Amino acid sequence: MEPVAVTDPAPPATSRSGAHQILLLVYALFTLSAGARAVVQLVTKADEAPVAYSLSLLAALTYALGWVAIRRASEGHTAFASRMLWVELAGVLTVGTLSLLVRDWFPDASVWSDYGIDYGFVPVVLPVAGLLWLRAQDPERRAGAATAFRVVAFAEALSWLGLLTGMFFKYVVDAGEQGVHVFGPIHGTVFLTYLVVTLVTWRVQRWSLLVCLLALAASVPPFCTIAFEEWARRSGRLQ
Amino acid sequence: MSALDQISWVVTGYAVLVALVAGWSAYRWRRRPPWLDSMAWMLELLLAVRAVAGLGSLLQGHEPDQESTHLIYLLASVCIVPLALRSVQGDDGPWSLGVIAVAAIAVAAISVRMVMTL
Repeated sequence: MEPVAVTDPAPPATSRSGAHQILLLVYALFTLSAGARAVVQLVTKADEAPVAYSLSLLAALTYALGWVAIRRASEGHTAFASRMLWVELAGVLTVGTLSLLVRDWFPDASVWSDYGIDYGFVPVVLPVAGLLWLRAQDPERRAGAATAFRVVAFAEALSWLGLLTGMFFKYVVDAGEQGVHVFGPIHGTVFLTYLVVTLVTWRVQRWSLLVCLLALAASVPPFCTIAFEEWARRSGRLQ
Repeated sequence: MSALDQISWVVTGYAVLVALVAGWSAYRWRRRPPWLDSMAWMLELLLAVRAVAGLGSLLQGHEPDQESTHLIYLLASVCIVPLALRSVQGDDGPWSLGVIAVAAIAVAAISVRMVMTL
């Protein structure tokens, strides 16, 4: 064990080394796990939930293409990735919403059911992380993280509004749980996306740890993310 | 608790430890120390033991609740760490620590699922 090796300052980033290494591993893992899961389910019990299992196979294909896209982007060809990652995000959001609204199609879960709840919501966070990485690749668009933070902070407050409306109808009016069922997972997804985007913004905008903790804490009470965003923008912490 | 489950929980705990060490070093923006690779190979050794024991129990006629799923987890579990180490070979930058951390988290998740599908 060489203690010197641990305390060495990091080398300057090369084109080979970077956040895309992590993205590539996650895309590879998801290609394999979604693909294996879909194939096993389609071979052994295709009749149970054909739509859900076919959508899982589609998810596996998307992850394989995503892996290729990130690899090409890390070599400087960002065109394919800038489309593919949006396709992936749209796919997760569409299948996630369908799984909440058209429950008949999903007697068994698909990879993107409930926005990827079985995989700790990684499926919905992954394309967002990919798009943020893609923006960081392009020096002229460094403000991307600030824009993303402002959008997600607003979306977080909106999803709180939806969830509170659902809770109002469930507990006060006693009109059923439909609203909570729909807005619960949506709020969960947006909340997790907010946490990820906050951590990225913290590094990109060079916030202090205290500001980062404040931003994270703002996601807990309803609507505080908007107040935080307003304060951060006015104090020049979102540029 | 069966012996197989016990190995799985040891694997899970050790994988979380590897993920925490790698994640912390990446957060401090360090180079990847050589002993972290040794830690990862130790994890691979544990996973190999779990896979051999699991395959042995399958061959002896034990039937898991979800057989095909369990078998895939068993095979996938031994592939992840070598795959990750291979992809960061010759690169000791801070991001390579993140790769090890993600691989360790994936291994931890798989070994929890292995207990659930046994």
